[in-house]
Amino acid sequence: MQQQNQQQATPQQSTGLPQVKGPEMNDRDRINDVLAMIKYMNVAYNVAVNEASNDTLYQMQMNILTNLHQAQRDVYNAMAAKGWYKTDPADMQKIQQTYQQFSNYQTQFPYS
Amino acid sequence: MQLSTKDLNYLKDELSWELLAFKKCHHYAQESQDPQIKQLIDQVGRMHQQHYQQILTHLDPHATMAAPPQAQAGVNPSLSQ
Repeated sequence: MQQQNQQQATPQQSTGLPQVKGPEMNDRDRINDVLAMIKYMNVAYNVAVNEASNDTLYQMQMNILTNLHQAQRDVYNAMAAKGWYKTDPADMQKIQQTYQQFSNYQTQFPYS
Repeated sequence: MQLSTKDLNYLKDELSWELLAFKKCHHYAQESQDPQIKQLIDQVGRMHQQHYQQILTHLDPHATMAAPPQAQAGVNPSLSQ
């Protein structure tokens, strides 16, 4: 699982975080922990859903799983909006290369 | 409803995760400075408590297994969609 949400020095952001960070948890640490927790529960519920013995249990846990996915997205979006979750764009040339490589595999497609 | 041993083990685990989750969210929401973060964490906490109650319903031997309450989708409709 990729973790791209490490704390970085982002002085241009006015996020309400202390300029000099101490050992105590700040808002960013807390929301980051909530995100990690939800992501863990997503994986755990997925295993449970796969093994539910009856449809009622399956539906109940599937419903919870859907809520958790939505919550994970809401938390991610909030963090991204605050500049707390930076992603770095992939290299254009590597995308092109990958496209080319996997396009060539079309010779292996069994379905017309 | 008939539960398998495996079902019961999962449900127990789930109850434990949810309990810890909403206690943590409640605690974090109180500590948070940013009102937006505070509210978001609070909503996540409420969702987890609803999940707890929902799962518990399935373990109640006296429950009439009619329609278990559906938890709301998403915690922050303003941010999603």
